[in-house]
Amino acid sequence: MHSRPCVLALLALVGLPSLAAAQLTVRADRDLRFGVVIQGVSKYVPPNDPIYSGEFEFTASIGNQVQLRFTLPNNLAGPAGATMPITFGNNDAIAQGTGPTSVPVIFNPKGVSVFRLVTSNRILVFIGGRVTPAANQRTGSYTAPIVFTVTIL
Amino acid sequence: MHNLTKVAALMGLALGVTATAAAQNNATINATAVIQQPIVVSAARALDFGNVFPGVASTIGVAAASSGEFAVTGQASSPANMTFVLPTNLVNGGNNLPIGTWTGYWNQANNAVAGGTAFTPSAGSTGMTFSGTGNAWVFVGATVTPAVAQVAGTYTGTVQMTVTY
Amino acid sequence: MRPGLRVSFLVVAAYLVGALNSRPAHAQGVMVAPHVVYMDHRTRSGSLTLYNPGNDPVEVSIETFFAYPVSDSAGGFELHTVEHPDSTMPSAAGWVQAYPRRMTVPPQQRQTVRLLGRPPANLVDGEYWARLIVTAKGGQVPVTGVSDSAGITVGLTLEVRTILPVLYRKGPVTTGVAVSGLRASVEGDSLVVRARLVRSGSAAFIGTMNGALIDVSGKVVARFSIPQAVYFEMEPRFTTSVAGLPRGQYRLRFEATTERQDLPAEVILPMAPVRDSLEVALP
Repeated sequence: MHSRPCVLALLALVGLPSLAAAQLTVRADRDLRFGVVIQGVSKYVPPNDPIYSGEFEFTASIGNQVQLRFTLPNNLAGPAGATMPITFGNNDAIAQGTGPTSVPVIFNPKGVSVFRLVTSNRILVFIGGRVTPAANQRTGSYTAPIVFTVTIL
Repeated sequence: MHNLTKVAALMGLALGVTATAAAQNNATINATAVIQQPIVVSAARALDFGNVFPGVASTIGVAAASSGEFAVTGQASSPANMTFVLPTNLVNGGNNLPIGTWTGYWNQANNAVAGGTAFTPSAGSTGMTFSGTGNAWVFVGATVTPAVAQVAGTYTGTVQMTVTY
Repeated sequence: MRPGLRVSFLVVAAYLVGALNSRPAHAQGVMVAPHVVYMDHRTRSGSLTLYNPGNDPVEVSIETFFAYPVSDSAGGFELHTVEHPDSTMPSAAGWVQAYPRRMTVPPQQRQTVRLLGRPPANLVDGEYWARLIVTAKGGQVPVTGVSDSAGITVGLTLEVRTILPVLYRKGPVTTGVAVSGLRASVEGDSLVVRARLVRSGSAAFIGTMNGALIDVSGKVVARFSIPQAVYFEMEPRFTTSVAGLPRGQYRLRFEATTERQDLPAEVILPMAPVRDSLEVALP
């Protein structure tokens, strides 16, 4: 008879919404698009390009210390197994809070960056890069995934 | 007490599982590009007559170091053709400096005047073929014929080369 | 006129092509991509990318006209221009416009040109053609070698033009090609192959002509693979080197296919390969 309340308590706990999980959401907003790229002519998209740069956003709690990390490709994959190099510079990522006093912060997408959320709980993150096609790069569409991981420390 | 302890332990475990799920999250976008092949006709070297003397015709042949040179890039092994619009005179106000006897040479192997094909640049079509790597080089030469009393000054003209693909 | 000038060096730098010798290559001209522009009636639009690889700005203008490729008597490629195409001609030149039509492309910069179609309301399903002329002008250039103390200079206006096809498609379209009159001859150290190609279907045949010369043991000893477009009919010429091949009997296999590596897969129309062959004797 004493065990029934314990079981019920456990089930209630399991059924509760995960309050801590709601503190961190990460969303993909926009692909990093190089558009038309001419054979032999490299193309750079800066992180602050309003249309073509890649964009993520995440929300966490004010005061959270967060670690930002990208998993970046070295090549885009194209038709018939063709690949095209893609590179990222040390200044090719920008974190921008949405609060009225937030200022953009440039950071290196190739490393691990740690920020503390001070003025905004919603942060936009932009990424740029450069593709370098060969002079005889096979024509067609190329793509590769970019993964953005946020960890609350 | 035992049951309360158990529940507390289970509560802690449940909370612990939830906290781990919130600590990290990720999302994925794609980097995308579309490669297109260009065609390009560029003027790589000027046709340079250098110093020209009144009354002395000056000819630059296609093999000369100062012959005009175009570099053309297109689809590998593809046929194309060339046409030219050439002046018969270079002009300085009301003064004409005759230019003519145009010569041409195209080569798909390299930018040398050997192993290719000679032609006469004109408004008529001259066929050419891009190399297996999509390259071709075109050379032009001509003769200027200044009169003995050719007026000094600036003489100008326009040359137009068209590659049809 | 000062007597000194009459006997002085008259410097005429007929810079007819490109830049000064002291300037880097690619002083004139722009890269144009793609080299074939496809437009779909559903969007009535297409685009072109221009890129100036040089160090100087280039003025560019774009015009449209109607023309299609044909072959001359020697099998070479020619463009047949129709100034006033009638209703029997599948011309899009009158209703495809480029925006902008005149621009200056700064050095090492890109410019996107939009092509917009405004076809007649009663346009029948099919493929319609136009040609774009992309004219690049780099402006006047001074000359080197001026030794006259009066400072005589000469400049030339340089123009390079590229003509490329625009194909506007409305509704489902098909293509095909019939091969006939296959023949071959040896000229010097080359095998010259001719064939009559006649297009069928409602769209231009844009594909590749493949040839393989096979010896008695079945080994391919020479081959060619040439991009080929057939809008109506053509009798083009293909060549492959047979230098060093022993005299004797061979078989030439000829194939027309719509495979193209330079074009996006989504614009390539399906067609079963068309094949022919003939015996060839090498002297």
